Amino acid sequence: MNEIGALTLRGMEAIPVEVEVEITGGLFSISIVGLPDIAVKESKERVRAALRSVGLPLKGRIAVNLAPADLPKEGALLDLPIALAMMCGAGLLKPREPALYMGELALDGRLRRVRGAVPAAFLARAKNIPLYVPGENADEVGLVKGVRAYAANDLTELVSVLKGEQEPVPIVASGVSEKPPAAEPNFSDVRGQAAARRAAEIAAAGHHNILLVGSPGSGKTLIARALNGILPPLSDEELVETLLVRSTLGLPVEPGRRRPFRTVHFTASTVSICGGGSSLRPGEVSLAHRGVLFLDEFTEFRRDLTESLRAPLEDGQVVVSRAAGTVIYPSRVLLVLAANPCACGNLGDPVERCVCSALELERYKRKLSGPILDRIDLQIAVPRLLPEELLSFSDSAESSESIFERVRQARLIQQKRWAPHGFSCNAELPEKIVRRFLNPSSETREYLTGMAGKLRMSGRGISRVLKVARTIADLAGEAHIQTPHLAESLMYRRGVAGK
Amino acid sequence: MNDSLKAQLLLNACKAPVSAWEALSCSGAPASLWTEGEPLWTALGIRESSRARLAELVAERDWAERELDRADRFGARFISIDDVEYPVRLKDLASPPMGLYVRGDLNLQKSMVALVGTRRCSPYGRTVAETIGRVVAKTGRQVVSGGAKGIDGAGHRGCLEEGGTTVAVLGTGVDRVYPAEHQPLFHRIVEQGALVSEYPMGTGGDPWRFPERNRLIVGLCHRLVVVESPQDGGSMITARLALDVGREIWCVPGRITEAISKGTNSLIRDGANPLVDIDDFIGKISGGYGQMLFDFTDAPSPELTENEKNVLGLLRRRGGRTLDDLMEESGLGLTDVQSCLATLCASGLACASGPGRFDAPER
Repeated sequence: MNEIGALTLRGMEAIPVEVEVEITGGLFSISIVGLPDIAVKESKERVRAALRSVGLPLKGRIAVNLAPADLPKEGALLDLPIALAMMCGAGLLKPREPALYMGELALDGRLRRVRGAVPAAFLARAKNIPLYVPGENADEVGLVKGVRAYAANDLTELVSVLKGEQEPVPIVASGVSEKPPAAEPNFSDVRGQAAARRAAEIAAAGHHNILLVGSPGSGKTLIARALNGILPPLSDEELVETLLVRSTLGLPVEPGRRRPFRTVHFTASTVSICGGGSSLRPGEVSLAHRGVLFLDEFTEFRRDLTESLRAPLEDGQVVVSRAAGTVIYPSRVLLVLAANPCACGNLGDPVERCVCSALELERYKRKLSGPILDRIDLQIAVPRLLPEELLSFSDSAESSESIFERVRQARLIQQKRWAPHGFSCNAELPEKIVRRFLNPSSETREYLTGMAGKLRMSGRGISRVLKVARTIADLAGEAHIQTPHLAESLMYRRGVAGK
Repeated sequence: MNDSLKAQLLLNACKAPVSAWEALSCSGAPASLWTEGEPLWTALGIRESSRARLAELVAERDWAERELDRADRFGARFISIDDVEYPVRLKDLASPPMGLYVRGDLNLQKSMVALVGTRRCSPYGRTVAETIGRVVAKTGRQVVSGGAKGIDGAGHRGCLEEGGTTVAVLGTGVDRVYPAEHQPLFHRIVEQGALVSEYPMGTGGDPWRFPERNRLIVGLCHRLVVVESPQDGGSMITARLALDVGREIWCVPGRITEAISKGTNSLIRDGANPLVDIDDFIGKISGGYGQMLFDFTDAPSPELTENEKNVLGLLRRRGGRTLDDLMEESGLGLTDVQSCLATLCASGLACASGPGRFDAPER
């Protein structure tokens, strides 16, 4: 009996599976054992039709075993290995070397795109065996270096390759475009809002989480989207991490090194954000890994939802624990929140009157605090500009490209400085490091002490201000935090925007 | 317990007129109130509803003793109309209370300014009420108000912040906290002022009691300030009462398009003093010497840099400015403007007036 190498997914990990087939005489029937899920059980119809189309009508009693028997198998990616195992079982094929096969079969024998090609490539690389994937998956597999992978578009093609009648089509490792993708929307589209642009720049440079507070129509969403365009590009390592998550969900590859930007609506469920479900899929927070997670209308989010985001933000990973098992997904995100200043949105607007009662304002204020907001380094208010104010900006604003250049420089400085300590940006610094290394000069320290007293800042508030000040100094290319940097960072601290 | 106090407690609890007490005390036998019963009560001119209540209380026999116990437990005292501590000004009222329950220290030496307005006030109203509360405390006066949400609460708070004393006249018993979220505020008032009520301990918040207690606010105060009130608000009743007993009325003008300030604006039209300037108000109420009591305009501290003075000047000229606006007019860069604002906000010279907008309020 010949086994065919296959795999199934558990979280972002590919687990090897062996497919064996036994064919005996009798009435035609196919039974699949080895904890198959519905998609695997249904594969017998697809496999039968596909084999018929390549000229192999199945006969007799066919038993398919998926080993190891106690591991639940999921997904249509087992179609191809089952079909190949049946051909082996019928004596039509004899594989020359162990390999991994994955692919969903169409009824006419074509191979369809499957999810999990990147984890499969990692597995193949670790076991040092070739991997055969559907042609549609070639682009993502091509981004994994050092793997021997081949693409096939249909079953006939693959069979002739395996019989040695045809040369396999190798997937060549394709380079990633190094050109930074065009920023869309561009900061040159944002009129005025100097403070918010600056805050976005600082957030991008130091990877600081940011909260934008402003009336409806003030441009919070535009700024949040534009923020993605000034983030430094993904490094090779980060690119693979994002790829892994996307591939696990079967999402197409994003071109270039652009960081992911995921928007979550407040009606979303906890599972869709943090991951889970019966098949333990990753959620939005993992899809936004190494990129931006944007929660618009933050105050509308249910408390349990924001609470559930706490651990992912704290640890940089989500542990999804269900009856079906436990998997870990990465979740290192730049959190961007947007909120109205009050329930009606007009608090402090020069023209529109706020109609909230004192009680409503009190209640809203309580929503604008909480565990998630403890993770926010920058808070900035975005004023709704009056028409005459908008018209007064004659010259065009600074474009994302030139901001990007500053951000990149600032990041390089940070990486160089913190690499010995194992950090890559200012926002990641723990309290201990802040206290040891972010020491301003005595004059600046005096200023900070004075301000902290006047503003009644907590210890945590002070270290947050110091981290932001460090990023501002990095943007200015200064080696030490100076008073103006601190003064500026004080304007982005919590509570200023919400009044 | 002497019979007089017992009779006063009973008469107060059943809302008998003060004249009834006077007649009873003239007769020289206050105990006859519960020994003789119904015929005497009618002769004393006690209304029928009050008589029914009185009958219930008398039937309880030791109600008065237990009432004093209850008051004791909450650290409250009962001041009757014959006590020296009884605020004389209350006797200006058409129907002064027979007595007052007081928790805390009721300071009658300090002149009182009543600060009233709607519970559903605007943020502006709240700021104004708080500022007035502060200056009232600074001039050595105290705020008397109803301890309600909105303007009342803001007035009390402002006064307390400045270290002054304040009096809250409640529409419930002094042991109750209504609204519940004012628990901490009431706690501070007990320490730094007094909670006052004419109602027996344990009385709940029936809506009709609140307009009734407004007359006590009017009675206690020398001046009444209405901050924000709609045309049909309870504060309008207070203002009318104040007019009846001849208290000075000040009103903070509001927008003419909004229901919330219709009442105050109409009071101004009818001749109330418009409170358009806090300095002016203080000057007027302290006979022109207000300015001398303390320095209102915290002169910009001399440590301000050129840039900071520049930005402050711009904000003083016109408030509600955005950063873009300030950068344009001052010619400074964003970083400089931000750090100027940080210093100005920290020293209280400027503040955020809305999301991303700044003001330099005159203090």
